[in-house]
Amino acid sequence: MVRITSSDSQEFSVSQDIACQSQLIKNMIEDVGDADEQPIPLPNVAGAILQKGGSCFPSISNAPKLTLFAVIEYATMHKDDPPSAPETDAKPSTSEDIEDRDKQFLNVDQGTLFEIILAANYLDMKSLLDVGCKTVANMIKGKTVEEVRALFNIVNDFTPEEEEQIRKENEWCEDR
Amino acid sequence: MYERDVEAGTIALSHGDSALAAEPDRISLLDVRALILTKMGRVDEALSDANKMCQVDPKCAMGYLRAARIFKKKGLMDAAFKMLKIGNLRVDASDPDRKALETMYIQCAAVLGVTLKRKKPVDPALPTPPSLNPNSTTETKDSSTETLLPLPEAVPATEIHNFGTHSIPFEVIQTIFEYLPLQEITRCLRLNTTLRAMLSNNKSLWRDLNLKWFSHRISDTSIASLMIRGRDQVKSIQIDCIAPKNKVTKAALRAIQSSRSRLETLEFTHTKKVAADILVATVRMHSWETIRRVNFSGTEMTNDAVGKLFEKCRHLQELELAECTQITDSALDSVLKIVGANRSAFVSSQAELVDLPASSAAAGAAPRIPLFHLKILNVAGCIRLTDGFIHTAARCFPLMETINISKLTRVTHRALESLGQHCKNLKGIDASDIQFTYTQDDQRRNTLDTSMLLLAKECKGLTNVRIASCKFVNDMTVQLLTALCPQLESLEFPKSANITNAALPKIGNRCKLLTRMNLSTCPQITYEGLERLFTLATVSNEIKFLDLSMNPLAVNDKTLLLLSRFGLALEELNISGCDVTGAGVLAFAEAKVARDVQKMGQRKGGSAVGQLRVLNLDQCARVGNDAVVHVRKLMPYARVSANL
Repeated sequence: MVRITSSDSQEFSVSQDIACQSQLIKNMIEDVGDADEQPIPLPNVAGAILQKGGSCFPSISNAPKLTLFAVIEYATMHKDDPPSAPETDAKPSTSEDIEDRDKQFLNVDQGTLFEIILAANYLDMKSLLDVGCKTVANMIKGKTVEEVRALFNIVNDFTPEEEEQIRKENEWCEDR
Repeated sequence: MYERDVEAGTIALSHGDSALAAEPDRISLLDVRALILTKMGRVDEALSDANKMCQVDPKCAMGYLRAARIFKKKGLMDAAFKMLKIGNLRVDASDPDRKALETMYIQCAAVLGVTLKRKKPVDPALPTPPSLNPNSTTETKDSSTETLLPLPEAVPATEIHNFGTHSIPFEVIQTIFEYLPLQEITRCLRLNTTLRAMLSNNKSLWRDLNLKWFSHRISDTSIASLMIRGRDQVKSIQIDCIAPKNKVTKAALRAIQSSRSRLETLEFTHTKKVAADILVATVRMHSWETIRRVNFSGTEMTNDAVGKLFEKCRHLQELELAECTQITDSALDSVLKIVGANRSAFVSSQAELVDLPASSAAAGAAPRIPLFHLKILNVAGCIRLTDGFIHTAARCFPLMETINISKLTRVTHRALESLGQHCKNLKGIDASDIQFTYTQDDQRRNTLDTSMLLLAKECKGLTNVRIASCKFVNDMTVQLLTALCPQLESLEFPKSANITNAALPKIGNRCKLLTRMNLSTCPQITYEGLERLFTLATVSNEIKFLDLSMNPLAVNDKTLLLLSRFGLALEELNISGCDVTGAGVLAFAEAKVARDVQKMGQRKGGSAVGQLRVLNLDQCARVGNDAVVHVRKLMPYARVSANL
């Protein structure tokens, strides 16, 4: 068992194969070695990485407890998955191949969805990150610019002239 | 390297200092010194210089710009923004740097998520100052791109990103957009300035430009702006100009050339507006080493241009020139000359061992390297070609795997013999609508059989054969092919009046790998023949694509019953114009669905392999609308075509 603590000092106890779906935790366990009784001091490590990587990463210490809970739920759900295929350079072609259980899992409000994605990014869980990004891509797909803006509260800061020019340059993609 | 910079900087500084001592208020001198100081890392001194600039002339934009850039470099976006805000209020509109200041002000605001009340719109065609945008300085000065909006400044990965109300790291946004098709990414450029900067500066999103389906809307401008975004990273461009209102001209190709991208694929099809020289020059200029696939179908390609293409692009693997009616037999003459100079299409050389294909490495001790690597050639519908061209092509390209010589009305059976003689690796051939005749010495032996025997004997690896509407295709042809080529995967003989039931058991017994069969409009085939074919289990279990359309004698409800028992892997079925009834089709659909469900139960995970995806029931007069509705309900995933 591995013990991890979230930002609000909530402690979770998860089995090692579940926790190790996070590459970050896996590396940490390997680095620390045999640390069976010690809870994994995530906030400290998170802080160190934060300073190195930039300011925009949410650390576990910022992620609400519920997000960590959700991520553990996902990891539990996928603990029997075969190891993912080696990465290829080819551009991933489709965002449609989301498993039903994942669809259900990510059927949450937008704020939570992005928190899960950010947590997955931070914890280095590739499969969860991919499935989250696919979900967002599907949200964008087939919508007009105005609809996408409304969906994510994006404020249009182009001048009308600029926007018209961009629209004109890329007229081919406006098929509706 | 760095130390040399510092040294040079110090010398420059001392010069600057002496100049300043003489003329202490010169703003441009202060600006240069501040720049040098920043480069050397002496940021505080640089800032004090910038400050001095603002004091000397509060109405001059240079000071504010310099200070903002220094702040930005230090990561203090807030301070940079404040500086620009003050500058924005004080600097006159007539100042030459006013526009640069405004642009940076807006970009800064976008990064910080501040909404601006703007007094005066910025000129959209304004070029960003070179120090802000190091990437765009070397960019195209081509006339076609002059009117384009310049690339916005790249947003460094460490800054705060705004995706609406969310802050998302750069690489996550990239992952999201990699899942979207090109036109959706392009549309998202209009969302706001931050996202536009992020997306258009991410070259990897613009690597594969498939504009094939947008032929009615693309223009030179749209292609040029895509090329500016993808720059040298573009690998594949597919443009089709088939739409009558199309506005693509040679300027589009100029834009591709000036991007300096090293293309792997270039498709530029169906246009008469672009000269062959420009098409070929686009490939030759920067991509001659990397290019693998070229498709100039339906263009004004000339013999000369074909020669030039091969002269430089020796590694080309796929060439499509369908319906290029200008090409004649002498198109490959210059290629043949190169081959002739080397005595054969192979060179024995140790130097080029790296490129050696495995097959020829195994062939003998002395490695034989082909001069040309072409594997796929499509010259369908190039009506001026005759046997001579095919013969030359076969000699030049010994690695050829697939050739399409359909609709060449002047080509005869001898083409098949040339191919058999020179291209031992041939796998696929489409020889529809070429000329066969009876040989003069023996009226009963037709030339197709003679030529086919030679081809099949030499090319035992044939997998795909298609010969449409040819009266010389008969049972003997099928027998020859199936006997000599055990690897056949696809057999297509539509509109063959002389194939009879006798040919079918041959297919069933010998073709263990067959997945596609097209026997559309073969009037001599009847139900009995199909029954014999399908009860030979090996074939019927594998066939995925089956076209039996326009065979009312052979296909009826009994045939469908056969198919529902044996056609286990069927994914596409065309039975248009056949004698089937609504009840028969419905029974078939029910059985097929039940099978698929059963199969999926066995194979956990529920993959869609083996599900019927396409069913064509056009012109089946005895099928009613009710039946079609039922079938569609049973198979919501399948495309059911029913123009009854």
